[in-house]
Amino acid sequence: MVNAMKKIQKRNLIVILLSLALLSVTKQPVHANSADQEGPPYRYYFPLIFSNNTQPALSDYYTTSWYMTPQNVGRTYQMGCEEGRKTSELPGIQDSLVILDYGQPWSDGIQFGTLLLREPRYDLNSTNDIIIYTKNYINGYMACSDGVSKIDVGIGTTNFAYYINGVCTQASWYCTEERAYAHGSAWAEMVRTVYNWVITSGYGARVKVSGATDIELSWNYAHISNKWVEGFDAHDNNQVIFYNFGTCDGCPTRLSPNPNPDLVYDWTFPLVHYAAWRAAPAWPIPEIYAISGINARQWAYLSKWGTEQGYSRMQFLSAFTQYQACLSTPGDTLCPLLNNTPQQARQQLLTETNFWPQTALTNIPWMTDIDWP
Amino acid sequence: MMKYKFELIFFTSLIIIILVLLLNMDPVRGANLPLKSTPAGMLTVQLQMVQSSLQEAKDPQEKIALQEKMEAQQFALNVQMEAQMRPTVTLKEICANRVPVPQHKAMVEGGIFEVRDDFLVSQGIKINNMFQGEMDGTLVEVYAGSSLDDPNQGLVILAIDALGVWLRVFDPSATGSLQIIEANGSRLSLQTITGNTRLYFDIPARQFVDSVDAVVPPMDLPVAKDLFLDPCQGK
Repeated sequence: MVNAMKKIQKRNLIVILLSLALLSVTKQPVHANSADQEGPPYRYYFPLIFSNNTQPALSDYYTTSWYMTPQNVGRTYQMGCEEGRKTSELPGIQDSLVILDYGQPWSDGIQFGTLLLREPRYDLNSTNDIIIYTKNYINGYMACSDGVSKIDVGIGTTNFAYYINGVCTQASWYCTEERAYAHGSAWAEMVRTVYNWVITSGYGARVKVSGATDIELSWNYAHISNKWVEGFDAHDNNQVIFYNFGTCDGCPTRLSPNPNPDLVYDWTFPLVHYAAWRAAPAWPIPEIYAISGINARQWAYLSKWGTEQGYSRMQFLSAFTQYQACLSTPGDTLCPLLNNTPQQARQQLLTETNFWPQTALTNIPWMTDIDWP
Repeated sequence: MMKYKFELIFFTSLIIIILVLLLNMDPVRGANLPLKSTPAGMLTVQLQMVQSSLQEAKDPQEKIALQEKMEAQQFALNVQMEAQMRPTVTLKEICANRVPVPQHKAMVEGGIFEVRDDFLVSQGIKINNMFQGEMDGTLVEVYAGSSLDDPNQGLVILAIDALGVWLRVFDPSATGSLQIIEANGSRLSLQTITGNTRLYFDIPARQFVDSVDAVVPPMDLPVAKDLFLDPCQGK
């Protein structure tokens, strides 16, 4: 009787072990992370908990972009060094994008440049100054990074001009097509100058230099803003690009679709689409600030509109966020609604672009988040 | 015989399980991992993106633009590949490549000044005027105005560029937009633009005070951000 019991126990053990062995052999790996799957529609594996308000995983790497002000232009070497140090603290090779936002276009009649953010007077921050500040940022990055990681530095401006009731004031400069075109041309030439310096300095394996502009529809007319784009395009020698880190203010979404929306000033869908994607040097990294997800819906809908006109889908390389800037300015009353983390913004943009097969993206590879000094 | 047969099956199964577990440690791959950066390099990724866009585009103008997009990325990729074939730059070379930074703001005579019309407007603030002066060898600026959303919410901003200080201080009485009318050393006299209320701001204490001679303890200034570990020091 005891022997019979032992035999049964042994048999059961063998059956369990063989089943386990069979199970482990036949079990194929599944790719739960959307980035590891070939493309949408993604397959989800249970148990899986969905939440719209997930905290970012600490290991998700994003860079810090900067509003350039009188407080930080003198310490760009340190800022580049700090960004470089991050790569040494992370495993593997990082490939990243940083935007340095130097503020609104300006000229003193002799040189082009910007008025720095937080600059109280009309003191020109010339393209020659910007070249020096940016070179030092790159030197800082090279001195402190891991020796293998790569960075694309976007030298940024905006399309901001000070209008009162739609009229450009005497205190504004960026108000005519001629000035916008000339500024875009000068910006492309400045970007090429810095990139050539990168190449001759032997940094070309790890550093790329691009232009960048924060084109916001409520900041200026389309016919002026897009002249800047044309000026840049005409002088980029097809060697440099620019990132449009702007907005699609008032644009419709899939929740309130309208293929021919009445937008602010003279903006139309074709003109927004041109400035962000259809212009040869333009790559969109839109501001995805809103916790509600409306910014992501606006840009995804614009991409869908484009495909309906026979254009290609918009390729978003990053969502642009202001999470750190909001932490730096606790008194800002709008921030609680506009402080997506980089991870939340990326997920919103991925989810919305993947709402339609024709706009779907397999990945949004970069994350960058702006901060004040 | 039965005993050996059992042991043979037992150990064979165990080895298979261990081998499979070792080879396949994380069967749900990616569930707990961050998104990959881009092993192929972003330039390659961008080129692939443009190539796929070219296949989709029907508009002839867009096709030309996409060709140009591709050209720019190909240029950068060529730069990258050529640079990879050369010797890596040394830290010494990088350090020697530093560029002297121009002084953005010269130390100017102190006083009360106008500001540009759109100063801080894009950040939701209307500034009426500013004070500029030197304290302990450092340039200090104070801007006075109000929130654009609520013109009654007066405020000042203390800016010390060299120390990276940018501090917004709201007027607790919130009786109107502020302007600076007088500077007595490090204490500023302000009033609302309607002229109804007068108050004072103490720069070292970074706070509003009730009178021109009220005593308040100064706050410590932050350590200058320049004090960082520079790998180029001594190179």
